[in-house]
Amino acid sequence: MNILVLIKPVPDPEREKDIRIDEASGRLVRDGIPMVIDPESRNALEAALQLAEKSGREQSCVFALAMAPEQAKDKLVEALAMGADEAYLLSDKAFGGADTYATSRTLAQAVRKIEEDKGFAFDLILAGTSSSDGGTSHVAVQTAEWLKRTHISNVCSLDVNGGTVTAIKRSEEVMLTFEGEEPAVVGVTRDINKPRFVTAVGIIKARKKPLTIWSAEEIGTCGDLTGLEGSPTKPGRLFEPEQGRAGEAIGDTPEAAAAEILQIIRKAGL
Amino acid sequence: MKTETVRKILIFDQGDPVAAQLLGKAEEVFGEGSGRGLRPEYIILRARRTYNLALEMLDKTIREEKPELVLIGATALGEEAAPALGVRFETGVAAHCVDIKENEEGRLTFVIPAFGGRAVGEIFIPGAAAGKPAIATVKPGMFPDPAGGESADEYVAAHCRVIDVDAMAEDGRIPKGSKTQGAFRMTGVRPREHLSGSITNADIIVCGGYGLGSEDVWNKLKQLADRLGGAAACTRAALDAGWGCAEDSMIGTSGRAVRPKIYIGFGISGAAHHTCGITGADTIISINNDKDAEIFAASDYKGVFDAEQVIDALLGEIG
Repeated sequence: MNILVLIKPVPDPEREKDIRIDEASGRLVRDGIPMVIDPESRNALEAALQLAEKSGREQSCVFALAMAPEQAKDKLVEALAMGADEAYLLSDKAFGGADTYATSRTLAQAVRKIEEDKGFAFDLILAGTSSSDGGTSHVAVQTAEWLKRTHISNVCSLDVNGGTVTAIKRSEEVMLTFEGEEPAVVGVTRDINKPRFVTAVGIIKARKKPLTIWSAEEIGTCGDLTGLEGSPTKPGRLFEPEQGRAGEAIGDTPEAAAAEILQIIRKAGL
Repeated sequence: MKTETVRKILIFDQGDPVAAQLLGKAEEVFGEGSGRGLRPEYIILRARRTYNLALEMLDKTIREEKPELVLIGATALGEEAAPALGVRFETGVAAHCVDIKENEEGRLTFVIPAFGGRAVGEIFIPGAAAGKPAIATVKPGMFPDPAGGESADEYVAAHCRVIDVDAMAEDGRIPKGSKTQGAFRMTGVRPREHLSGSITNADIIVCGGYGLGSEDVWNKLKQLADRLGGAAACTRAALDAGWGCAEDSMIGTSGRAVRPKIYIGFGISGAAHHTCGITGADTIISINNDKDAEIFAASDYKGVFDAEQVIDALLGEIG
């Protein structure tokens, strides 16, 4: 089974608090905040490794693909250390400022190139559904649309049998079961599994695995199809969400606070 | 001479209250009171029981009606349909809007969370002016239900043209066995286990964060929510702690947006990805033993106490 995993490097979600907006430029300042593999990308990689192991690890391949600045290369090394066989990093100034439409278009273009180079098609492309930074839940579905493959996102359970992909997702009130045919693109959620840790042996092996870096030109795309220029959404101002509540202190003791809370509830007529 | 036409707005109705909320918001932005020149025409595409036809029918309706704006609830289905349509119509999708408005220059502006809600950003979809639809998704509960005594369905009936996919499928206008290209087919539905009382319609929400510290305290919090006749909710961190919080009771960018009359938060730090889900609450009360907790800036009332002590005191008072 041939599986490609889309990996998104993101600023460490644990350090979100430290992200500031620069008043003068209106840009996000995230200096000193390390990049990590997005949590749900890890789940996607784990799901891919498990499926490959189930169908015969030797006869399967798991590739990782990311679009990110070249500094994010070590995130792909980490993916290789977790168990991926090969990794591809799309890195070019032309990709900068891409929205999900342009990002997915670029990723799809790279998928075509990998498949052409390798002479096979991926049975499955896996990705996280919602990244910790953008969180749009768009990229898995949009990559599938560019490639004209079947898609599903928000998947919390996944299985493949004889070319049929069975996926379960939670809707607001029910559990829904879905079926689709390979080749398919699946966006997973963090409930699907518990990603494995990177081992020392994994890190040593990773050094010998192929990691390819491609520019826009190398995958056959260019400025007006990618990056900010190729994006149908354009960013405007960025600001901190308004809170604007008084924060009036209640009670001197837990008991007094409890009494005041009940009073507030009664005053609201509840 | 160029004649003025109506502006068409397509709203996807998946059978939950979000369609009426979207309509209410659209009416606020484009309706008579908004002072905009063009008269809006609202088209509701209703697919409440025809999940497998929804994407294809959205696709077809956009092709035929050429709406200027497509509003979709960010639900399990909507979150998948919207980005697919974005690629098909070569247009932008604004995900999980916390506001839709006209900015000072009169441009249609979508306000979306960024960095897990740490910041919010305005985005524009300029292609919408050139005949492409702008697409936006909104979480259920982000905008209020339309005011007035009318039920959601009556409100829709009074204000909109409805394309009823359910009815079309039932009376054979859509051939049996039709399916949506591109999307997986739904083959089974079963009720969710451990479904908590809905936090979406609760007047009182008692919410627990990681600061509760243990499953015991979470259980006390649930008991308190019950006694108050409200619903228990949690943050992402509390959910991940594994105390048995229900996932559908999670509030925030990765969970739900709520608008209770009273929200009481215990042991919640106040990361923006949680607080952006409670901005619609009438009154916010927060208890946290960290006097510098960010949640206090988003609260009407604050108490710098240990969460468990206040929960115990409340349970004692109620008796």
